[in-house]
Amino acid sequence: MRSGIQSPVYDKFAQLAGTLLNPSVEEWKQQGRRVMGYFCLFIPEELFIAAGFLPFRMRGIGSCGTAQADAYFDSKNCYFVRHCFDQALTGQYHFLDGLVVGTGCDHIRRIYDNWQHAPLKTPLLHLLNHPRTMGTPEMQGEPMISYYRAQLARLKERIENEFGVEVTVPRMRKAIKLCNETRRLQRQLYELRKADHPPITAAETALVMLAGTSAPKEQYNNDLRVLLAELVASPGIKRDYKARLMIVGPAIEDPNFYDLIERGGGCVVVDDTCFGARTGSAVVDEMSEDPLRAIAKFHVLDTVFCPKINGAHVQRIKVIADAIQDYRVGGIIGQGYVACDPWGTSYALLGPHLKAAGTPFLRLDREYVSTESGQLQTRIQAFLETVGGQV
Amino acid sequence: MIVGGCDLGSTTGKAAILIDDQLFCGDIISATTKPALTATLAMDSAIKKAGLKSIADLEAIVGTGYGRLKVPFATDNVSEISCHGRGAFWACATVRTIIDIGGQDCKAISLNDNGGVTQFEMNERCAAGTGRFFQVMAKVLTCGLEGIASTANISANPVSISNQCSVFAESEVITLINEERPLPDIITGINKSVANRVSSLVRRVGVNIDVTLTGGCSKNEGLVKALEKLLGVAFKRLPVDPQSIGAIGAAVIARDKRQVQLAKAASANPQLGG
Amino acid sequence: MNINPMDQPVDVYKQLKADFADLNANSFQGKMTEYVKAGTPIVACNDDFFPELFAALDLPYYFTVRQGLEGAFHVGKGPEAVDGYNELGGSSSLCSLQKAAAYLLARGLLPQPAAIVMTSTSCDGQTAVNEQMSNYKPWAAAAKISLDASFEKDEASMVYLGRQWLQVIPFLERATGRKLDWDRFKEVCEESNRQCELLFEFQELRRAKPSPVRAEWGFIAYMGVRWAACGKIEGTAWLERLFATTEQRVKDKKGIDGITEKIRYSWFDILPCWSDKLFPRLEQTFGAVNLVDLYGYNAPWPVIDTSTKESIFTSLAKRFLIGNPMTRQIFSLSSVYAGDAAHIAKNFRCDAMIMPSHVGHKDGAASHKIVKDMFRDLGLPFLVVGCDVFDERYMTPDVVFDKIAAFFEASGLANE
Repeated sequence: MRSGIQSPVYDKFAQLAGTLLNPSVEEWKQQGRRVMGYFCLFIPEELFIAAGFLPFRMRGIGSCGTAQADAYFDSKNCYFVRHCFDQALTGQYHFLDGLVVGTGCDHIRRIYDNWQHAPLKTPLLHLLNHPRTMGTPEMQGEPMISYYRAQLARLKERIENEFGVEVTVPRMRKAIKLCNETRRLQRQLYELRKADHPPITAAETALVMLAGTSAPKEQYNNDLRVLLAELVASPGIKRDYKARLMIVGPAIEDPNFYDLIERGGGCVVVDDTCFGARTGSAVVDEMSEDPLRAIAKFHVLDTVFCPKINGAHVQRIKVIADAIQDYRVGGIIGQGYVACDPWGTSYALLGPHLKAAGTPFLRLDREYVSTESGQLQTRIQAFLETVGGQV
Repeated sequence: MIVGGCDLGSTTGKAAILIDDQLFCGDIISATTKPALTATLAMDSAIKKAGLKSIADLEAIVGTGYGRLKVPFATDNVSEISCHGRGAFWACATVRTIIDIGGQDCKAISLNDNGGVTQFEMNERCAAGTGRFFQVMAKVLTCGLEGIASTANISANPVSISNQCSVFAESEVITLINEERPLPDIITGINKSVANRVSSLVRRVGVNIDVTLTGGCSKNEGLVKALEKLLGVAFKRLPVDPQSIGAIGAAVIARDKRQVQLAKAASANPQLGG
Repeated sequence: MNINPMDQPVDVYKQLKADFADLNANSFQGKMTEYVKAGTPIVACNDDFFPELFAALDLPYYFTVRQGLEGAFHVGKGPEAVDGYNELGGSSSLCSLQKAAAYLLARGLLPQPAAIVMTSTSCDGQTAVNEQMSNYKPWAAAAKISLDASFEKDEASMVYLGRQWLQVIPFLERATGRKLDWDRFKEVCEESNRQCELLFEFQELRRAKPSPVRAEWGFIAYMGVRWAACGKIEGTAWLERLFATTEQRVKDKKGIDGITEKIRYSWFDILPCWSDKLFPRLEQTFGAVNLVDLYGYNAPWPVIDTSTKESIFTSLAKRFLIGNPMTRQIFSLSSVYAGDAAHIAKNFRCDAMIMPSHVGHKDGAASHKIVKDMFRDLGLPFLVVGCDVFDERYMTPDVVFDKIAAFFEASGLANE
């Protein structure tokens, strides 16, 4: 689905989102500069930018299957992880100078082990421990924040030693400001979708967000400002829809999933997903004397959490309640992969909560690539017929 | 008003016509390799039963089922969840829980007092608990689906089929055949195994009476009895062919849509009003 | 508790098992019903961390992993609990042990706690149940604390967890009214040190050829001094008897009665709840003896350093992260998993290794190639067999037997 966006920056975003070795990365490498791959939202791009790297959030885009990865992983493992690893095994990630794997879920952390075992010749491979609880309110994030700061400091030191760079405090502050600007601009993009007729489709939004995970921030921010200017002036996409929806769950790399829903009569206005709204949920303290600590605090206390974090559910309920109000959401779709225990359990808590609150909720297990599968379409269509109250 | 519904499933095509409140169901057509052809055959059968001349006599047709987008003459398409809900409610207004076991999937649907769908669950990418499972077993037992459904094959001593996966369950049944276990014991065990899977799905939407079973498998008395026992309720038998409920519901929805359309046209042009 | 009804046909072991049952009956777990009736404050946890602390506080506690096992699968209610959980609409691929625990929780069948202590270990399944416990409305009044453990096993990470645990003491004291007597705590820790040293020696003893006892005794010994009688002298005395009896068998070169040991293997995971339908058949058909499982593993137990308050908790953290089999295996790098498998293979002089790919064990599944490649390099036959170590309906024992039989035959072990 297309909204009719005219600005050529959108095509640029689509191109960045649509391939791994996109033009930005190619140009960066041609300049002799370095790329740092990373898994998971809680890994700070700021650190990589301050070290002169282009941060590249790992994805499986373009993957045709998991035949190679399945020698290392198993059908019990997450599709996203398997597709990403398959891309790595088939040489698609040759451009990486480093990879930082976060101790996210059981599937993602094993990318570190298997990457090492394969072996994939990436100059720097690092496992970054991230706290998986916020603790009690009385603890105020300690000792988790201090621990994460120490982990970040170790990673910083390793990057400095391996690549002969210096990550200074001013550089870190500059990187924080840059990333915060991205977060603010992306939040503005989402704000536009509060309208009765948003000026941009959900799939298009997804492409803009995905582009932000692998493009140099200055250029991306400039391009996003141009796009926002057009969108602000747009009258919106005039179409009938059955319900305004919020999508929740793990990474959606395939914008077709959103198209499937919107072609079926839904209007997806907001989300809580890994490559979506969660990235811009808060900002890092730009004025902190200790930027590493500011980043650590942001990731331990301030951002919206993935359900692997103990305490995430309480936070999620509030995020959803706010979204329902602010975006006038009529129904929630909780999507994910069968192998995902954190999200599966989150939905077991969220489903009854939403039911009690009278908010229609659809739980949807999906494949990595959203093919036009009959079952998926039927579920979505049936849900929209239920939410909209009209078939 | 003359309207129709066409349910194009994975293994069969069904059609139904409503002439005002009178229902005519066509024959159940086995799926061909051309969905449009299957839909046409199904609808032609219903047209004949209704004594109509041609499809042009119908004012609106809703397509549903797995192949609903391939029904060439449909004026609209609606999910089989909504159609099963509406069809079962039309046939019997006390129905609140529908279990549909089709060729490739099975669903549990919960209705409110107005016949609206409140909740639904569908099985996940697994043949166990679907018509496919029975087809596999019927082949192994060489008794055909009629044999599996026959009341003559209900036994008080069913075998226990431990494997949840239909591939392994098939091996298990072959072993039982080799051990010369009586056919009714095996068939009853198979029905029980399917009932276990399906009842689990049903409990996720809740068991609210009346409960009814639709789809081809509803003709399997052994399965019905096993499900009734597990869920602790007597099922409501519908006064229409349960395999055609989807098509019936589609026809009812076609009628509703047509009425709305006519009402809109009348308010836009008062001269058209009655 | 029915771990494996194939008791050793020797009276001493029958007595030891009966005595173990007594230890259990007198443990927090065994007396839980009394505590509930008496309104004694109880603590719910997700994992078996720091039993020494609870013993010293004389504070009844339980952990969800064990509830899933003993509250469901060991009393024949496993399938019902798993199906019940599935109907509640949770994660369909969650470990069935966690499903059972979550189901018991949702049904209100777990004792109401005054406090809930959770750690971010060991796997996504456990942390998922943490979220359920945290948000279980009937437990809203319970005090909650959530601790973070790191995958790093360096000193700083042990201090990190240890320091969080120091905060747990005032938390528990406030929530339950118990007061920690540090002298008593040191005594318990020192007794626990003796127990763990003996436990290690016992597991070492079982390396003998022929294997003096079945693998289940490794798990029973573990349960005896870690779950049932941690820090209690009666627990130590029981383990001393178990050790002495088994030591004599080793000296007398006695193997498992009635079995001529031909194939020595390790089932490198938790003993399945359906062990009795598999292992005896393998013994009788192939003379194949399972030597050691995950819990019977001779991992070295870090000593609790009782010199200071901080050193106690740092060393307890080490013990939990490095000594506790579940945490050690799952909550770490694949190299630990693989390294331990190799260690067992060499130490126990295995002819083959069997690694169950438990459905629900996601990080384990993602380590199989690393382990397979290691065994290929070691030249030892290795089999991964998919199953559910708790729910036999997923892959029946007969199917598992057939796979292992084919493996023994194909690798030439069955023909020797």
